[in-house]
Amino acid sequence: MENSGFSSRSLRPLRWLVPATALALTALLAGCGSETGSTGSGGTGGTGGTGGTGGTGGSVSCTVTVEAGDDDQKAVQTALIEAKEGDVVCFGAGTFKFETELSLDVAKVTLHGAGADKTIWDFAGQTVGANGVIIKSNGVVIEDLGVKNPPGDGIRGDSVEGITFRRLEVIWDADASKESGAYGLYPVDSSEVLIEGCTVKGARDAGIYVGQSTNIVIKDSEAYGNVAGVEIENSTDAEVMNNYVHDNTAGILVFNLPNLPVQDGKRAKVHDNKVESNNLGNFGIAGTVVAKVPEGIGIMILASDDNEIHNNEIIGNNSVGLVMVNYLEALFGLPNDPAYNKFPEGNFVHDNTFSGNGTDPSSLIKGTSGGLDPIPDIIWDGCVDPAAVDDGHLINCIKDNKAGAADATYANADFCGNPPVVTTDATGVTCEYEPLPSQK
Amino acid sequence: MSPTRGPILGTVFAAALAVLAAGCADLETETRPAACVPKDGPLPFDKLSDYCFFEGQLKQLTPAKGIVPYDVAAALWSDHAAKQRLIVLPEGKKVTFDAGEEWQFPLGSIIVKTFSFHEDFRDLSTPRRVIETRLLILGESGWTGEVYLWNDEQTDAVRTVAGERVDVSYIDESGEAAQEEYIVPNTNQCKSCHERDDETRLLGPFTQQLNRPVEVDGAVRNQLDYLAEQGLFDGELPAAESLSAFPDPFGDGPLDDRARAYLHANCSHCHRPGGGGGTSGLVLVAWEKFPAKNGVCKSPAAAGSGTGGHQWDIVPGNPEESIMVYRMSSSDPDIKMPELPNRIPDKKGVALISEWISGMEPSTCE
Repeated sequence: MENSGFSSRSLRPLRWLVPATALALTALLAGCGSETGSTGSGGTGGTGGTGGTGGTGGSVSCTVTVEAGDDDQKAVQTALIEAKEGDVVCFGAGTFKFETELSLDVAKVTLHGAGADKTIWDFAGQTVGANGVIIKSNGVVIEDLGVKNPPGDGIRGDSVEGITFRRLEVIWDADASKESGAYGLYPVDSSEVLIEGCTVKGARDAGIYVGQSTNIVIKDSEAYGNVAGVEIENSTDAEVMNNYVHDNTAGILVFNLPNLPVQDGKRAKVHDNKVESNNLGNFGIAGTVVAKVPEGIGIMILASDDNEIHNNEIIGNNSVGLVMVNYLEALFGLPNDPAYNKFPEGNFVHDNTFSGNGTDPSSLIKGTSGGLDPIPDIIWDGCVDPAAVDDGHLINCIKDNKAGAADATYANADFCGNPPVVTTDATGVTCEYEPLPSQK
Repeated sequence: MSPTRGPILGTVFAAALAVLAAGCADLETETRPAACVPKDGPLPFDKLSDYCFFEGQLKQLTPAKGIVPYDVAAALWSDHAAKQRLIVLPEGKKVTFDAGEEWQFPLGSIIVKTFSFHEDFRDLSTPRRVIETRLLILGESGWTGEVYLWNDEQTDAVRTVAGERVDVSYIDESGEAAQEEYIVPNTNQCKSCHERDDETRLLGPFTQQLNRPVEVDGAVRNQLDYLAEQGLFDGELPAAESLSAFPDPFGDGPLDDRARAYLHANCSHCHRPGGGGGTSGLVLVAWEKFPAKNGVCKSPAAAGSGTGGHQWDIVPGNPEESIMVYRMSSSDPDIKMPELPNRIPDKKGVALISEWISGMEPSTCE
């Protein structure tokens, strides 16, 4: 059935007569598919041209406005394809329904809704595509929209320089469901990432996930009801600040994982977040890394280096407030990657406040903490790379962390010792590093 | 077209039909019709007939003079659609050959691929319904994808940017009646397969895929030799037998080669460095043979979705525990592979990859 072109007719000498080849090619320079010149504001059947309806931005000037209607898929996807660089594509209040992943591949386009609770992009009926929205062009801003119930990921930014997620909501209505999608906001292999004022609830992996990226800001956002609230994975120079991360299985994860093209993520500056009651039963799907994370964790550093975790309020996480571990074979298996360094090194944890953590630990945390009750606020697995050379930024430093008026408690679980000898003496790790700079 | 509401397709459609009467697709002429003259003006054209890729009745898909059909050794699974592939070169221009994937096409080249469904795939002489024709056009800024949706009358196809869903029914090779909602992609979706490192690439016409036997005028020939003889290339080709070649994945070549050819055709456009699935670390180009990069005992760290409860992309000797087979077998958009645009698992492909994994030295990966 693949041979319909050949049959038995013979080929003739190659020749394709295009009377206007030169003309045609000139037109190609400007890019096929966008010559129709039809992005005038309003258009047939459109309502409104400028300003949007009830937009929160105030001074947004819409190049074109798309309203919800009876074929949202075609209307919105066509607008995204026909947008020109620099356009502001606005979406009116109302519920838009989609069956296929939406994609945007035009640089510096702003997608602007009338508010996360007013302009709703509903993906419950989606049958094609792994994301609700995929953005593949640089410098895109997406703001003031609500994304509901995508079967896969919410909004993915794929290999882009510059992307802003602002005042968005990505919500899976079902609570703690394996049927919900994996990531809410999902920039990967990208740089200059800004996530601000967003809310993500219900992801069966990470609500806000940034992978293999650089120069990242996540601020003023809320993540709850996810397996992981916020995850920084194999990424460098992230700042995670002023977020409210609560009622997830684990709050904020700073992970470095093997077998990924981008390795050696480092320098996440995680500060001034409220990380509270992350005690949700883990509903991740077996086989994913987060499915192995015990419930009740506030902040977790896995095999990642040179991070600064400071001035966070870490409250009521039942297993442990903050834990630093290597890529534990017992938990994750062998990394199977010769280029991978599995030890967390050079991290600096300071000036955080802890209260009510570690009071009802999961069995895994309990079993590796030498019977301490409650579990100390900060735990390090105590494993040290035997091949490491001290470059002045090797040990993990802990300083001035408080639990009420007292110092926060600490334990070195000596997990790699045989047998382990758990110690709560922080003398050897009381030190400090130069603070990391803020992003931008 | 307007990005706002409205019967976008309908409007263009009516125009297309009106033009057809005077157009080049000379419908029922017995004698040789007057040569089709391509439309004047900038590309892309609104209608497929504007290009004059075919002669005679359009739906017969008979390539016009000078337009070159080709076939690949390992085809991308497209929900059972039959595909015709054509190379269109500007007059006097030729292709610069490469022993791998990097054939250089001249400016103005067009690759044409037409998707259709036979009434009965057991008998390819049964009528077929042509659904869509996709073009890749090489301009100064690279290849650009265009999609043309055929009308119900099968008289022409109209350019669409937003894609379409089309209900099709047919009898498959095993004689079973089948129905599906076939997905005609939107033009952005062209790039989800064809784009790598921000550049749109060809996926079919390269040496390993075209270095295969084809039947021409009743005789079996090597396709590269034949294309060279027809003047496709601007230089001498090395002897075909000295060049590497993909086997038919469902033929009788060595299992490892057949599996890798299949994975290359169906997965490697994303699963390679710079591809859409590059961040997964899974590399499925046929010549990448480092086991962990192929998924052997590799945990699916980045994807996060659709493991089916399994721990590893490939568990050697155990396809049932391998995420690769699980995802190839799914039609759930959150789980299935490839992500786009097909919707129906390729049973033969799943069987092939399962057989390949079964044949590996067993390991638990623990």
